[in-house]
Amino acid sequence: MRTLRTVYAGLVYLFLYLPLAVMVAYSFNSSRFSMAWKGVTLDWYVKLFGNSSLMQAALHSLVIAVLSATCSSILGTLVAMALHRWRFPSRKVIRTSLFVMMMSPDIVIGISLLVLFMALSLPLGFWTLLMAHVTLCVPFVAITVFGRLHGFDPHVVEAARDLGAGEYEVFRYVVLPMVFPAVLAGWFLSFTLSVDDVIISFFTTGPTFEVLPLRIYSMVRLGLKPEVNALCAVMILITVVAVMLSQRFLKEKQ
Amino acid sequence: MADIATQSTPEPVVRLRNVTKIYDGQHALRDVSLDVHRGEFLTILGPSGCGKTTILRLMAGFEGATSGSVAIDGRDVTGLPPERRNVNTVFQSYALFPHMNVFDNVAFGLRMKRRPAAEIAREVGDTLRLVQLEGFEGRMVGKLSGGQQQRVAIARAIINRPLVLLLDEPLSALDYRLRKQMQLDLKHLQRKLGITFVLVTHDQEEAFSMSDRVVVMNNGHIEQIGTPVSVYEEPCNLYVARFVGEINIIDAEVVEPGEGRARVRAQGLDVFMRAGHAFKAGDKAHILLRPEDLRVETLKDLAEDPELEDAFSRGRSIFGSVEETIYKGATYDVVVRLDAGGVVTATEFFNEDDETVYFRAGDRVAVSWVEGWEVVLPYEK
Amino acid sequence: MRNDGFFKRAVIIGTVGWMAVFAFVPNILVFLASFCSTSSENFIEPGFSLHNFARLMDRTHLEILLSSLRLSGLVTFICLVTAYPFAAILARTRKPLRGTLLLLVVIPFWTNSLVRTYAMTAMLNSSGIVNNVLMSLGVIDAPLAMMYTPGAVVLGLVYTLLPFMILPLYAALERLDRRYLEAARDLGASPWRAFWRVIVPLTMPGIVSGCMLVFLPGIGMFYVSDVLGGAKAMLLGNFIRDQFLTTRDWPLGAAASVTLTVLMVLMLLLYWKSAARLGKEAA
Repeated sequence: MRTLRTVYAGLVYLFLYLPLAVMVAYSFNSSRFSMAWKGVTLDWYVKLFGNSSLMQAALHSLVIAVLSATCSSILGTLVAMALHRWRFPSRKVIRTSLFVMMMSPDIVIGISLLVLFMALSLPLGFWTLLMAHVTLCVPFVAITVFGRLHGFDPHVVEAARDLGAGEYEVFRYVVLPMVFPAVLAGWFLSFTLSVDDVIISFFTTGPTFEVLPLRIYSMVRLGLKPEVNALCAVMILITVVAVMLSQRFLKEKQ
Repeated sequence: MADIATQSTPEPVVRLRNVTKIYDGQHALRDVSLDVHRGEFLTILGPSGCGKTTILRLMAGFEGATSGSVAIDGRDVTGLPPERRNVNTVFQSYALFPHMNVFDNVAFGLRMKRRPAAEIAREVGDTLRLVQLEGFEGRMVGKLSGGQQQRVAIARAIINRPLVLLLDEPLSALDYRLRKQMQLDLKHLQRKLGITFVLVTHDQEEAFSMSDRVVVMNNGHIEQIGTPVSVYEEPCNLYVARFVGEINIIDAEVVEPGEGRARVRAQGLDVFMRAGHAFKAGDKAHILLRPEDLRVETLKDLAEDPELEDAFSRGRSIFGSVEETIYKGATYDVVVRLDAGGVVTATEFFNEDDETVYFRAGDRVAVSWVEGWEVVLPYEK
Repeated sequence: MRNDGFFKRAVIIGTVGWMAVFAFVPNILVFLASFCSTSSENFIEPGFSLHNFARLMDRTHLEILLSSLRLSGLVTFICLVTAYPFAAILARTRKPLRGTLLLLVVIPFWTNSLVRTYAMTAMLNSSGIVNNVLMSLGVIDAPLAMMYTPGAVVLGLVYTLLPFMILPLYAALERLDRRYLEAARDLGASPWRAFWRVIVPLTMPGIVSGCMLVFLPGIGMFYVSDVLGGAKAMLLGNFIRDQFLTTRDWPLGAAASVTLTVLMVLMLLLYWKSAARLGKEAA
């Protein structure tokens, strides 16, 4: 039984990682056109970093990811706090909507925002993309932070007020420090969501502001290319680092 | 009840007037009026859900009253948020800030008042000394024992020199021995500081051992207010009598009402008893007796000992048979089935030279008590 | 303290306002658009008709819709039966090792799904690993044409979405109190019956949310079909995208999107019902 379990788990991991490993390996293959192994090279990476329009797209992605992670962490935390601390009309509706938004397929979010931006006649580009990514990320941050707030003794907030803290002080000195690990985890979550997103970006950015996943999309559609392998390897590395960091922060809370 | 609740004394520190609180259509409090006197240790006693914590939260400002008013130190504070009331709370769960150490927890209130750092450091040191937690300043609160957390919670509240300290079942999370110790410590602390304490508990023993006055609550209203002795010895109704300690209740009938007393017929007795209520002839009534106030002797012993019989017949005695005896350690209970119906329990001490239970099931006995130790109340269904 | 009410009011108004602008209004617009028609000057001509939904039900469109649902259903089923035993194994692994194993699931979960889809092409290509291995083993003589088939799309979707099934199932199984299982066995249930009568109902919210996280993207992830399925639009997602960006028939695309949303709402209701049965607070 035990070996059977180990073998099964091993096969699942093999399935998850083999394609990634093969792709990373081929990013070092010196053959341009065939899958046959012709020796190790770093050419593709050199080429990658020399490709200025690609680097431009990567920079755009980074800027959008950092900005949208930061905005949605702030917004999401405030939303979570509002839902947790105060009773106001539509509170329940908003809580449910956040959950629904988190579950919504990207394509539904993407086209609904596209329709919104068109209705407001906003030109598609940096600003629309930023707003779209913030919309994508806020529910994740809000639900993460809300979950953490929910685990706290509600009397802690009452105690702070009892000791003379107003609403702002309660937020600044009690709620925020207590949920900070969750906010940080939410930041990394949002960062990764933003860097990885294809579908929503596809609908909400314009030719003036190209981001990396869309660039990869157009390259990938043209078939296998060693530069793409190298680019994907770099993206995997970034994800691994971000995930490790966010795990570290989440663990620190315990 | 309202007239008992609002004895006029010079300016109470907290005054509730006709306070009603409704949650989701349920009355948590109905028309409650209560004065808390300056410097007293007042305990609000009642079962869970009786509204006692609601009173505390109304005083602290966490809840607003549906109707009625709350005044602190002569000023109407109805609608004033908690941070602007000069009262502080010790929570049942302590509610210490988990991300702060002991020092920062205790300093929180003074920091909110923007006191200078040097003053804060001095005050926190003094307060921690008062609760015997010197040297714990740098500890995170999660690493403290329950008793230590409890003391941090008290220190965090009293450092603000509140007019009133509100304590919401502060000892319920502690084990029995620690609870006993903390009861004494709290009482001493209150004397030393001279701050008014309002404590909420469901534990009758705790209420009696600490308080100057006890408020007995039931179902959203106040049943009785008085010193522990008066509440125990003179319960004003069956609910209070039953809630504070064990009680025997014997049904009776008033034959002839009188001034401060009444001739009552019950269990073959037909005698005058002390009665605070105005009865009419023919009213049904209850005779209330605490088990420790009852004496039990076998008819055989009484027959053999004229001196004992004499002493016994000077009191009031009723007859029955022993049903069972219950060993309690220092004492034992004798359960007697009365000849005229009903059961009473009497608490007996062991004889110094005899560690065995004297009575046997089936023994014919007389139960007696000293005249005036009984309480006669109007009949309740 | 003097700005007390201001802070509270600002946060509440901000929350409600943000939700209104970015969540409610866009979806209402799409909903309204699905009843409109289109013209050469405007993407959307105001009006009200069920015309677009009727068009969705005609033969070609219905076929796309149904085949997309079938495909995604198959993907969900494969993910569920693969992930359930795996999540159970994970949940029963000892502590330090379990953290590492879990991290190994979390990394692909967060890795760009386009990158992962692309990685699949290197496996399935005519000169890819699978063909090479099979040929060198002598199983086949000529490379199999695996790319650009529905099978490749299914495999690609399973590959990308499997972690989304594993994690909710793991969360549900890890929370499961083993004593329920012991109680069931103690009361005479066979392992098989204990599984179906106790474990499955108790992990139902995890199962439903896992299925939702796989099934809905399985309909919408148009790039998987683009990369592995070739020119044929196999998913409803491709169809919606084409209506918005190629054919420029926004109302028809909006109607398809509304259909997808309705599907999501139905699955959410199922989720809430299963969670409510366990007496937990949903959402």
